[in-house]
Amino acid sequence: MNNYTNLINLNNVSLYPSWLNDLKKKSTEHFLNTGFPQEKGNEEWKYSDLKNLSNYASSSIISNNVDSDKRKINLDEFTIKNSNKIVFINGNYSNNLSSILSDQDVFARFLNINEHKNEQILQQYFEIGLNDNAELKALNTASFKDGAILIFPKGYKSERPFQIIFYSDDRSRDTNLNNRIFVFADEDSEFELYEHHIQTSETKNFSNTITEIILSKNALGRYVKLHNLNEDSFNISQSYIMQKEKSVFESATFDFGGQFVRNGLEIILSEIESETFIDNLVLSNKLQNVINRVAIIHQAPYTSSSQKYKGIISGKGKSVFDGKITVAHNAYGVNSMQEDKNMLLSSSSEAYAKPSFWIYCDDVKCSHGATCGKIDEELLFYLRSRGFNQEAAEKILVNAFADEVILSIKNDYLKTYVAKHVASRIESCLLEKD
Amino acid sequence: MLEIKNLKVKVDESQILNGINLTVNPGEIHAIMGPNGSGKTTLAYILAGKPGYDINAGSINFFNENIIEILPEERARKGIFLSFQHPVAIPGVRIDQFLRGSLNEIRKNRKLTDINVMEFNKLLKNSAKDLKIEQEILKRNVNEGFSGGERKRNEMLQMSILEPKLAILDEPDSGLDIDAVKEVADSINKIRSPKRSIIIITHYQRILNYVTPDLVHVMIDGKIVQSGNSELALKIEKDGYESFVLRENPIE
Repeated sequence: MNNYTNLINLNNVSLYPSWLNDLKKKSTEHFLNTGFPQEKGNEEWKYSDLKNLSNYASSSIISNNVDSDKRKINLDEFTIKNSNKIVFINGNYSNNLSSILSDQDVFARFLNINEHKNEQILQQYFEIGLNDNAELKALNTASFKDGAILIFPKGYKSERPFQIIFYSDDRSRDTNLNNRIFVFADEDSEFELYEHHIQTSETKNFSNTITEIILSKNALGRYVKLHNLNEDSFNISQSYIMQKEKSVFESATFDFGGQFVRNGLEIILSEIESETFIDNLVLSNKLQNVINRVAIIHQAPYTSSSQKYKGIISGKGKSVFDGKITVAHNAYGVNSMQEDKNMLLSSSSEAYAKPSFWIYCDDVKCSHGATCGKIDEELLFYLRSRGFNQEAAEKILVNAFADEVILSIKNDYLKTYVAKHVASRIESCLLEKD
Repeated sequence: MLEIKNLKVKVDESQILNGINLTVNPGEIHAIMGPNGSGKTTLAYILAGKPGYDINAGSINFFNENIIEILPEERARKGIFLSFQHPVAIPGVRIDQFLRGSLNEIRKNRKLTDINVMEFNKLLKNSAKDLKIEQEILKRNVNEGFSGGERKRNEMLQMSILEPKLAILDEPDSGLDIDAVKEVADSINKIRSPKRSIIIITHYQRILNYVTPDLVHVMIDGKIVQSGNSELALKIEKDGYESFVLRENPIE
């Protein structure tokens, strides 16, 4: 924990409103008290060996002149056409690389929240705090410097999605980057948000991102999370979603690398008829360990949730799906579906599924299924009997397996972008097939 | 075209084919009939090159080349087509894209360049129309959510597009109502040509009312026990396979 004892000092900098400073202090104390979650005897953190994380220095890089940097960073390859782009380089906002094409009022930075008209909304939800007991959320709250705040006003609709890029390079080596996103969608609003984590090949850092999304009555949120990481990194990103009456949340996550990637997703369906749809694709090879932990809490009647998780695992890669569904006492008429399908391409690859249901109400419909297997021999033979060689047939079948998740993306530019990356990751997974 | 000599095949220590001899000349249609478990589907799979079988004797010559060691994809490219008894569904793979890829693999072997998309779409559309397949189906994933009849018709569509030299049809009539059997028979008759050979594997004689085979073979316990003209199929329909079993294993 030595690297983290300076958290309090860092937070004495009075960049933020006093309520946020107070919260940061509280979180600092909390984290210094608990430390990183331990794997042993802790079901929630099973398969997550975090003992090396305290070797990373707490995020101390803070520079407001990221734009005067001589180093040229080109993000064209990652840019989703037609989107509002918000870019953070090693945790610092870059004005030059960001482009808010429209909707200026929607976006604010944490560093500027002092002057912002929406400070109240932020304060209100930060002080309620969704799962503040979580150790890594406390670490994030204690030490994040900047981040994106998106407030979508009542009835807001836009053709332009928001793309938030967290880019890190060798300058963040051995550090812990804490990024923060806060989204509030007011009644009847609709938004699309892509959270994109990108690392250059020389980066070895520990990124700990927290995203909070509040969906008010009838709001619709589409959220896609992408990880373009190198093989040495630790990336933990946790999203906390609160859904009000008749709101709809659609989420898709794609993992393209990282030594250790953990996606946490906690969704509270707090009011009647709110719905949530989750699609997820894991591509894990080499020595990668990708963990998806999702907790859905049906607090209100007639809420529904659907989770479709897929994994393509090769080399010595590992994928863990840990899905927990809770249906509260009075939440009658709940409909909940959970599915985890894995394709293992090598004998050393591993997939674990750990579904659990905590149902406190009688009148509910819940289902779950988990499968794990190699490429289907019958399908392979069918394709080969039509002239495709073994390699081509395997490629077709693995890509087809991934396609369902890609097709869940509504935005065509993003879909094309994701499809390209998935295809190239599949190529490298197939190289390690046995 | 096809010459099978003394073919013996084992799966997990049990002998499935016990010395098959069969010669098929260009332009001929052969029907192989036999009860369940007689080895008909195994023979079809062996001809198409399915892995997992132990071929412990014999040879399969296709245009005077022994193809036993040849991979299934290479056999397909040489012009062997298997219509599956139970065609599998391939989620995520669209029929039109799948079939164009397949045709291009086969064209490569015929030293032809890839077919362009427009030309292929036209070909596919016309073939589908001939087989009374709805156009929307072509954009769907291969066999996903298809009825038994739709799956069989999709196999016929593939056959007509890929234009094989030897088509092995494993129970193209099973699970179909009489109208659908007629349609499948129709598509077999359409691709009949002096250069193309067809092997129809079936339990029942009824499809042979609409496709007249040159030769009918009866297969029992992994062996062809009798061959004859189309009259033989009628005899099977009348007497069942029991009479052939008795002849093979007379009660002492």
